[in-house]
Amino acid sequence: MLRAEHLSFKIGGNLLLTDVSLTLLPGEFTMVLGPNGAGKSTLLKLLTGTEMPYQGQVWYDDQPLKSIPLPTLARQKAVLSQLLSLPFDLSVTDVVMMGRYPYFDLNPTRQDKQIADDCLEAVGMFSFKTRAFASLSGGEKQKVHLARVLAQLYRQPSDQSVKYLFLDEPISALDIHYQHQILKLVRNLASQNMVVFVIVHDINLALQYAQKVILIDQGSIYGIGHPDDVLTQSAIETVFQLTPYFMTHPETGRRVMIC
Amino acid sequence: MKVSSLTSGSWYGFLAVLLLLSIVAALRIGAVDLSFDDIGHILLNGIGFSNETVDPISQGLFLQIRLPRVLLCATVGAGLSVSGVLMQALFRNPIVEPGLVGTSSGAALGAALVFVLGKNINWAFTDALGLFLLPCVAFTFAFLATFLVYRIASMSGKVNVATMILAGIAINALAAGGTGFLSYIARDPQARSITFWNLGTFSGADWTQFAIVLPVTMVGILLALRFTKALNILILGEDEVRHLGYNIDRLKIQVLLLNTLLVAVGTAMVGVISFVGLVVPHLLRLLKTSDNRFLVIASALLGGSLLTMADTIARRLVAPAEFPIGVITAFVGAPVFIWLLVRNARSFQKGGFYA
Repeated sequence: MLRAEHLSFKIGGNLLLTDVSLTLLPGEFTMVLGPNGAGKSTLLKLLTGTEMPYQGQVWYDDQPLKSIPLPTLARQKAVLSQLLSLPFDLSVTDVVMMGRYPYFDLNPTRQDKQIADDCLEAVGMFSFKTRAFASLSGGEKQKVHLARVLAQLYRQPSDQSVKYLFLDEPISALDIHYQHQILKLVRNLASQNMVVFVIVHDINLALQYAQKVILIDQGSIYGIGHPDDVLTQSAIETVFQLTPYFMTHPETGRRVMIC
Repeated sequence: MKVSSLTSGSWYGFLAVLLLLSIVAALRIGAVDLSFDDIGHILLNGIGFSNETVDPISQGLFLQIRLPRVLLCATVGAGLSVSGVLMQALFRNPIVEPGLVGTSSGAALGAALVFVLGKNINWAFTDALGLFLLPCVAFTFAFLATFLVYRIASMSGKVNVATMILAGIAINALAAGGTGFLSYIARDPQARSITFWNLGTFSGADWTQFAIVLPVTMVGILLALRFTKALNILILGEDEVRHLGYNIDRLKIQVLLLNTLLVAVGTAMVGVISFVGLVVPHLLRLLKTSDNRFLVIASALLGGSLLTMADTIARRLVAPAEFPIGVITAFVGAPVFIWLLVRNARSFQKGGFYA
């Protein structure tokens, strides 16, 4: 379980996040939505310990985040930041193997190599294994980084501990086939005792996949709860300044939004 | 088979053989060429396995001058190259090397201070440090210079390359000015030679120097290996280092210190030798990979060989006189540096070579 209490964050006198409190449960696929600059990435940074809050505290289970040693944390929590470019070129395997760094000393074991291969397979990038990372397209890079994060949280069958997965716009560069494939993969991970926190922009994907939605506007939480309760017509009108229309999917019967 | 598909292990083997060959060649070739028979006999005499008589002049030349010189050269080359790897990883930039960011010239200034003023300053710690006074002072100055450049370059939050190069020029000029002044007032003929400080030379190498440089370099390289995983992650970005379990601020300081140690101890003995730390890691990046675990070990081996070869050329080309070794490394290294700059400028235009 992840708990945040009264988080505020400011840079140079500007309050970017004001009094945010939330609880995320393992097994629950949480998606975060909101306009540009609303504070989604800032919230992710506070929850992962990348930035320290100006006020408030974050708890992983019953431990305050800042009291957990970094090497321990690296085996529990993984973060996929927005697209990263590399000053030096590495192979795809090299990048994915970094996800296993918290687990081996200097050289990867056979098991680490197997895990890296499995994670590449899971995102459909196994055949790119020996390619130079720089030669990949934006979407392919995103998938490789995702494989790295998956490798970091790879769970042995005997491991029942809670894991924490944070993804900042993981599907922004992917085609619709992979958008859905990756979200299914992440939903499946969430069901395995994992706290999953994903920033997305597509409201329909949130309606389709999320079990919990956090709608952020101007540095505070506008709504939090089941997607159908949070992503209402009035909420979207207020937060995104657009008039949405909701329809019913002809086969599944769930809500679909068009603008 | 492509060279890049060779395993790291076979690369290490190949480079180790190369290092051995260049050491053997360097031992033979010089102002006076020695035969393999002579070298063999001298070495066997030394450990008491042979009573073959050898020309005592050759023996003295070999044991007191050439052997320590070649070994020191290989060690300094290894240290400078590993330092190049560390700095490139830390600055997240392939065109950084100790000579450019002030480390070498800072170390040279510190060493010049001790050489020139050494006998006139007599503080409590100068006696306590004894033989290690020189490397300690060189280290302090090298660290100050590098730290200054790093701070100026990263003032905006992340390292700005243009600022870094400019700050490097300024700090280098300042340190070189200081060294120049000290050479001017110096009495010791060796310290008087500005060439010695600016271009480096192994002509003064002896066993004492080797005995100081070798352990420091070995320990430095072993420590460097411990940071290689974190430095690999740093390729992705500073936040990722944290996400994968390392304290980024501590890492930066540790690497900067280690780096300075490696450069300072060598520079204090042989002066500033530029471009080795730039060219060696870069060659290996092209040949195999940018994985720092590979780069540290391979650069130590290749850097040792290349500097040994450069010194052999410096000794042989105009024998019995000799070139400053920095002339050789600059003639090879500066064009490579320019080539890198041009290449980087091109990939910068294509969008985002630097993060």
